[in-house]
Amino acid sequence: MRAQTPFVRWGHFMNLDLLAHHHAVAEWRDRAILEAARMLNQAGTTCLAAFDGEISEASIVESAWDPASFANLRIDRAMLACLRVDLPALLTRAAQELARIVPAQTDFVEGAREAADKLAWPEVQEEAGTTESLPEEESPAAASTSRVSRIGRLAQTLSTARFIAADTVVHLSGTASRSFKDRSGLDDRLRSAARRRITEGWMALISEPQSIMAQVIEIIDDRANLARSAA
Amino acid sequence: MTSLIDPIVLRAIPEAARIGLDNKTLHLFGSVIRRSNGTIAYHLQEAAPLAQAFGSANPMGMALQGVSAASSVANNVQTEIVRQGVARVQHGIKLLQQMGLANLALGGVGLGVSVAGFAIMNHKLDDIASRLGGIQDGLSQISAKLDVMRAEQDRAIISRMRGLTNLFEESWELTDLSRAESSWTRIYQDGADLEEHILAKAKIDVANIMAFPESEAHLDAFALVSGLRIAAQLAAGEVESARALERRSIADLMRLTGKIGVADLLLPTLTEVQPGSLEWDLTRISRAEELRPTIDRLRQRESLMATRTTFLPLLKRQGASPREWLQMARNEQQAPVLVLAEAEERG
Repeated sequence: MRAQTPFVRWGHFMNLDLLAHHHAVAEWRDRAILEAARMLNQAGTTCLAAFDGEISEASIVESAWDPASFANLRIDRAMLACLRVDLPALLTRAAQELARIVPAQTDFVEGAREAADKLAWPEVQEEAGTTESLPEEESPAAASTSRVSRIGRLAQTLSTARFIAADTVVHLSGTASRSFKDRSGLDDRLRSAARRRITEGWMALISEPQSIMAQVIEIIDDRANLARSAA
Repeated sequence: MTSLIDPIVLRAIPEAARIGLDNKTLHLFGSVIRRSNGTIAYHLQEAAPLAQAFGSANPMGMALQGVSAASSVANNVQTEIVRQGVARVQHGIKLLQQMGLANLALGGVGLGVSVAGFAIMNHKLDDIASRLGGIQDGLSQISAKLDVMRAEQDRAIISRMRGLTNLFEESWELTDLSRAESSWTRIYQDGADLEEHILAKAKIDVANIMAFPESEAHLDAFALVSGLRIAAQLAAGEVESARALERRSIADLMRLTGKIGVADLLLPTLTEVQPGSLEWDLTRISRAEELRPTIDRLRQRESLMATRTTFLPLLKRQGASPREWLQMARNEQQAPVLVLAEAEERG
């Protein structure tokens, strides 16, 4: 037996205005989400291009051991510069548009502003020292041997991490064992880490912690639900 | 004999309505044409001649078969009358196509109440059956057996829908009204669990966002069965029950599809493209274009299902019964769509 509909407002015969209102809100939601996605992607494109110019700053150690730290810091810093003002502004503009669809509800704009203020942006912690600082002083020769073995250990660790494909790990060990003569593979690892940061930290639909895209969609959905119930 | 409905029926979409739709002072919303202030100006109802929109590439040739061989003067006159009638039907269908209404009328929900005859219902059922065959969950080998089982269930659904449709059509041929009413009541009752069953399947489909637009077939099947039950109740004179059924079905549909937009279908498919790239943006734009018609169909289906009985207050004011109106649509010879004009539009 079908449950009684909680959608009681459909109980009114010929409530076409309500349906038209729902359609207008659905259209608004689509526009807002797709515009936010477009803005995030554009920022991502800009930041990835800029990141290419910063790759030369990375030490071999960073490139090989921890490309994610190097990439995340720079990508997050650049993305924040692109979006910290523009994305909340987009949400406010969208809320203003929604307020025109639902004139009875006036707090959309303020609500959107508050929600945008609460966006959990990635925290950018500036590097404590130079990228060349190592845990301990080592002679170049010793360091070289030691790095290879550490990379071997790191490769083992990384292989358990779900986001590193097995072939990348093999590539890492292989690259390292070539005594870092060929930086191109390492540079690719940095680029790959940067792309992953955009994908997971900024534009993923489902991720933990929530990406900026997921948070923005949630804010837009909340506004849309309010607008639907405000009719 | 003049019916109580005759004064408010138009056998073509009036020029004023077409002009209003063009200059946006009127808006098509499901089966009604609304004014800018939201009030209804016209109600649209599919009628029997709509079948000629898909029945034959050359409907005139079909219609003239049987009389064209005759050479007598009487037959020539008859031929001319038929020719004029067919020409009017063709003109009406062409107009519907130009207004984008033909596809709406031939879709799962249809325009108004689904009573335009077996040919049209059969066309809709065939369309749904062929699309149900296309739904797969993408798990290929693992789900092959499940696919077979699902296909069997879908065939059973179509078979039951055909059974109810046949019963509905035959009921109109009965001379004994009480027997007809008992058949219509049976359609209403027997259709209830079929509607529930299809709704449950539609829920599963809709949850699988990636299966769109193929998964719309169950939504159309749901619309068709609920429409058949509404038509049966109206024919049986159970107006309040028909209204309640319409309200329930639109509420069910809105819960299923009311919140789905382009973004919901689009963004999950972009995971295979690298974000932060021109390629992502170009893919977003092109896929959004591809998905737009699917979303338009969702919104149209919602509007059509919400406007299936909007003509009832007008008929009541006119003192006419819904059955008369449905019978008129079934008996219509020339107009593929009948129009009920609200008082303000009749001058």
